[in-house]
Amino acid sequence: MAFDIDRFTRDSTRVGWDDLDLEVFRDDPLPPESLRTLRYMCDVEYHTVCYLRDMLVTPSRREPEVNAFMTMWNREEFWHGEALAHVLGLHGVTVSYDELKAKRVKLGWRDKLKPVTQSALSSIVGKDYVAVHMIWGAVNEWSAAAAYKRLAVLEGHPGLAVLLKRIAAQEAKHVAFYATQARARLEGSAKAQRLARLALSNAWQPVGSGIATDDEVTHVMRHLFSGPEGRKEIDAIDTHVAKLPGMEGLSIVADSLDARGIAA
Amino acid sequence: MTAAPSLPGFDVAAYVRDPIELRPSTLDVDATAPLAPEVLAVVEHLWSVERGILDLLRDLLVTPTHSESRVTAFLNTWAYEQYWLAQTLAAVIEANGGDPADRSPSPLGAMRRFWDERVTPMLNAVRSNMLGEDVVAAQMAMGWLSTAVLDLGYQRLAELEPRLTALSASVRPLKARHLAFYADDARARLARSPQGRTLARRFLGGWEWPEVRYAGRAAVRPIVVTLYRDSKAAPRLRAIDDALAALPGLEGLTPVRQALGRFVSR
Repeated sequence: MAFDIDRFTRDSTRVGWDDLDLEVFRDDPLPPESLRTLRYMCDVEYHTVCYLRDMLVTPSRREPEVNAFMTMWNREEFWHGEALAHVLGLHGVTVSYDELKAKRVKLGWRDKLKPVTQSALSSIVGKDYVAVHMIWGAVNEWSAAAAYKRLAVLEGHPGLAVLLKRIAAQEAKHVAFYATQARARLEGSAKAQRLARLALSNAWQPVGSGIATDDEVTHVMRHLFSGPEGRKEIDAIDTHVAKLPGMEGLSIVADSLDARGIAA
Repeated sequence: MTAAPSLPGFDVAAYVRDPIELRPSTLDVDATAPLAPEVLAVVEHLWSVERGILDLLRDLLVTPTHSESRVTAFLNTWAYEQYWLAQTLAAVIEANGGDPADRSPSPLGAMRRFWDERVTPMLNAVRSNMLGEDVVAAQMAMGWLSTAVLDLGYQRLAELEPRLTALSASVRPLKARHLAFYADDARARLARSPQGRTLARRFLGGWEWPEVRYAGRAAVRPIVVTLYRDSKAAPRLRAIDDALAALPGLEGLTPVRQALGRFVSR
């Protein structure tokens, strides 16, 4: 699978929702469990800039292609946040700069020192660290795309479904970038494969784990991925991951659901 | 996202909705050729500065600035605009037979780059987070200054070479909005933070001309000479210092004059 960075940057655009009939939510609101999931997704999207920060202190950004991707990716994810904030706003849930700031500040020193640990690790490990970033990004984008598609199905709301599918389509492009990068970097390096396997099997947690409470993570995972239909999506992600060089037999996403007691 | 009433006046929500996308296709880049070598060197210099988008983002985001969601929303769109601006400058360079490629840094510059990429982000993450939110005020003032100097560069470029009038005319509105944001944010933060004013004075006192840190003073000197040897440039350079010094607590600072003074060989 090749990834055409020029085409990606040329076509990169902010997700739109002006043409969608979302005003209906004022009279016919979403149920509380879906709003809770949307709020989580919104926070994760706005938090992208902090993931970007952690990547920028590693050798990951040295190549022009990665540079170009990150600029567009960061903007697209920000607009996913804006789109979800709009939907939340129609339900009377206001997402303000001050509130987001308060959340980031609350993350405390563990978050503030992340650039230090990331930078130190990448200096020790060297170039192979980039492979770990790329596979990590791929799993997260796969999960995000699956989450949006699941919520679209679960809610079955015509306007919301279109918006969520638009967001999922952009996430799918991000997957293509990360997976292409990961495959290329893992292929040639047994060390990169060992590192990536070690990192994924020991440290991977569902997207948003670092910023939301454990209860919120479990709520969102159960809401979206419990039951056979949800588990099918999760297994599909694990299958994608396992196809990457050196990742055979991994089932990190399903494992994380099992660990949270979310039944298939 | 909604802004709280306590925040300064620049409308970030409107800005992020309406970026200026200066794509290469929006400009007749072929019409810029042929440029005199000294003018092309200026364009190459500007390209090199503008494309350092992610370096600058990194330096800001490892500090408490990353928590400032209003600032990060601005930076998000700023980076997008900068990306296309750099692509357009690269296209101008190519149309003039140049090759947009990294300048080889001076030996000292190479060491600095290694240090800045490997060590500084870690030091800054610790140091600036200990200083806390006050550091944002200083960074916004620095952002304003660097942008103001670049903006004057584009203004001068059009005066030096009529072929670059269109380029200059399309870049300057983009810079004008960046300047408005930085000025607005810096003014509000400096006004309420004595520690921010102290930090800003310290940061700005050591301000260096863009690119000097890596390329070395000798490599940047010809660019500065081309742009500013004309006597009518001097009052505009002074005007930048004056506008900066008008920000709360920055009275008497003259970082542009000081940085220029360092180019004068002793």
